[in-house]
Amino acid sequence: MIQVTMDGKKTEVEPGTTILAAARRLGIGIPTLCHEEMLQPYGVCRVCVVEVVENGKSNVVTACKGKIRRPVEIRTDSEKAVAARRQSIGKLLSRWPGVKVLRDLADQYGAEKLPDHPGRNDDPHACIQCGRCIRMCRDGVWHDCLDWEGQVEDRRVVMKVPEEECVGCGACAAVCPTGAISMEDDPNHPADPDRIRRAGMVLTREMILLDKDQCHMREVGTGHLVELMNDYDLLPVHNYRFGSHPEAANIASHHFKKRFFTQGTFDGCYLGCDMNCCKVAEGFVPRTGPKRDQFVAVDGPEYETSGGCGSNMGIFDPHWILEINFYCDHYGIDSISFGTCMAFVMECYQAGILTKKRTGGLELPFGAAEASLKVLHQMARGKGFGLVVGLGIRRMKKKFATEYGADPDFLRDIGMESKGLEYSEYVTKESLAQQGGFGIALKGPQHDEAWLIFMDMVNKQLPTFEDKAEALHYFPMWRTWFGLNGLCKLPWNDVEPADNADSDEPQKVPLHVKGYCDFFSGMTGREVGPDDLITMSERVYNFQRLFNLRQGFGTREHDAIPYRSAGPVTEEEYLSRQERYDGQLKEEVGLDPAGMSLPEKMSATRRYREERYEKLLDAVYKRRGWTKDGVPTLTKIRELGLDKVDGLVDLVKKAGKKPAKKKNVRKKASKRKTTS
Amino acid sequence: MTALTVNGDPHPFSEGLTIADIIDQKKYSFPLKTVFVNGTRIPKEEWPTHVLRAGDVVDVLHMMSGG
Repeated sequence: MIQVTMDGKKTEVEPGTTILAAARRLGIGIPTLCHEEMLQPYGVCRVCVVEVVENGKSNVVTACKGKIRRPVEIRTDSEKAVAARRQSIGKLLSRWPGVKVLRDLADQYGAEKLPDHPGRNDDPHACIQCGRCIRMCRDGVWHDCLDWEGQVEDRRVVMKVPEEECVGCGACAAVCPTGAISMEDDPNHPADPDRIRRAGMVLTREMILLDKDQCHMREVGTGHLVELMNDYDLLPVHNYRFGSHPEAANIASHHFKKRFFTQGTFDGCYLGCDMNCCKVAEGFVPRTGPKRDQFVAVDGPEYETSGGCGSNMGIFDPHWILEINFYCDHYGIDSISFGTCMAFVMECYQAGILTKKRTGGLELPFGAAEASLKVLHQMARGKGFGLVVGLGIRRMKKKFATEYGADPDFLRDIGMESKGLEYSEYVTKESLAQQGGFGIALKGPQHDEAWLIFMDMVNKQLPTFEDKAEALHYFPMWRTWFGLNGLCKLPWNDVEPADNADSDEPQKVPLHVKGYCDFFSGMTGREVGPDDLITMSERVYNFQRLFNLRQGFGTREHDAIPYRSAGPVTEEEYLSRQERYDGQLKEEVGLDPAGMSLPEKMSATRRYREERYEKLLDAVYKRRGWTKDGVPTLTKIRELGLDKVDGLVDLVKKAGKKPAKKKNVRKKASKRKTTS
Repeated sequence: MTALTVNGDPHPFSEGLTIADIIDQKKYSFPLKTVFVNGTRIPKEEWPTHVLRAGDVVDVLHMMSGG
């Protein structure tokens, strides 16, 4: 640390701290003009000059660029500093006398126009060549559309790319101190465009200043979760049997960044978004399929693809993950469903349910990357074993049981699907709330409805069924709101305000929720608060549940989950977390595991966990205003105004006359042993 | 054995144990987290130097992201 005296105040700073940063920490005001905290110091306007005294020698330096490396005395308001500042302001005022920010500074420091600096123009919104817009576009939001043109007197800011390549993010206008750049009104005619832009700039600012120390979304997107989930024992490995693997380090996001990614390219998402998490593997050369040995561009992979088509299938080579990613996109196949289906197939292969004869000659143990790609190519063509995998897990389970004589109970336990949709890529065994987050999700076990593993399993913030139910009310409703408005969820909580932890409910990121309220009000002209957004979602969510009901779903039995989502199916899985499971039996169930055989412990664990899931459903249904069978009550649909929709009241009344079906809870643990 | 509590679970205590040590031992690598010791939030820059005492209740709250 270095001792510094500034205007008589003493402080200590890290070596390399700028004078401006030190002054702000001490509460000493230094005027700035070209400086913008989101960008690197520029030092061109020289309005921030201060006097620095070192070893009896005095110099005037710019506070924004000047770094403190030795003990010095700094005078921000000395006669020498103010005279230099006055001179800088005078030069600028002479050139652009109509600009308010310059006139205000001149008034503050007694500056006047200088005779040897002729005026350029009297425009109150003149460009004063501070360069903020160019630097913001290039360094801040990575679009690099603006540049200087001309020399000295004729110097001006121009668009250096065709106008249509400007994404219209508005960051340049937001940092312009004079209004020289302004945004034209949006053709959508929002009620209050400035309010929307202000809300958007909150994200821009956080991405530039905070993302590099938070989630690195601009560098690797959600791919950074691979290494994190592996650390927390949550990364699906070998069809969700385990939560981590030593080789997971090989598919960590930095490998993709270093070997494959081009930053800041277009991947089909909204171009004007300053989260800018798109990244493309340009010049990738597939080793199989119709694009073999050709240069292609791959969008991704996101976390779900690395988890699903990587660790869950036992593949720990970034090349093969990218190749599967590419062909899934190329063929229009969901990489999550493909990964989860293949993980199921691989476990069935290793368990002897599938044989080379049944796969058309393909060997498909965990890690079989090239054979998996063959399946993917077959799936796209509707041929061979690909046609079988393309059925999805629900239908494969039925086929394998009826045609191959496989144990249907075992298949139901390890086939990771609910409502016919394959699971997303998180191991949920140790988080009851997340089991509900997947199981109760209207569309099936998809990660974007509720992600509560950290709150529940790591933080232990949801100790009771009621706590879990409250979270399984709020978060699915909140996330539904993004879908209702065509908005992305990532800016909500993949970057967070620096002071988010000090808010009342940091998990909800209240400042960002307010931003979404501002966005909605700015678009529509209708003032809304956070509760209003939840009500909007609740209305649609309940309507969707009733839609499912009308189609023959939407009841408790359809919220059932495969047992592997809740606990260890095989002895190998139990033994891999024996300490945890034995501890649970002892502390929560009241059994002494020391006197129990492994099958007995597995059965008791299963019984306990399946009963807890049923209790969770009860609590969630109650919180949501649903019956024990998971159907919205008449009171609830009236409260939401859904009773005015033709047929819904009759639908709910009819459902109320049917007895709720109990989930088929198995009492015995599977004796099957599979190997990894 | 003397212990402290980390996210509700007992954790072994040793002289000179810091918050940064706890985060390392528990493999809490997720970047969006906040640490409370006995209910008081401890700023990130103090994690390497904040020495814990036996019996301290440490909460490392992970925010949500991803998905």
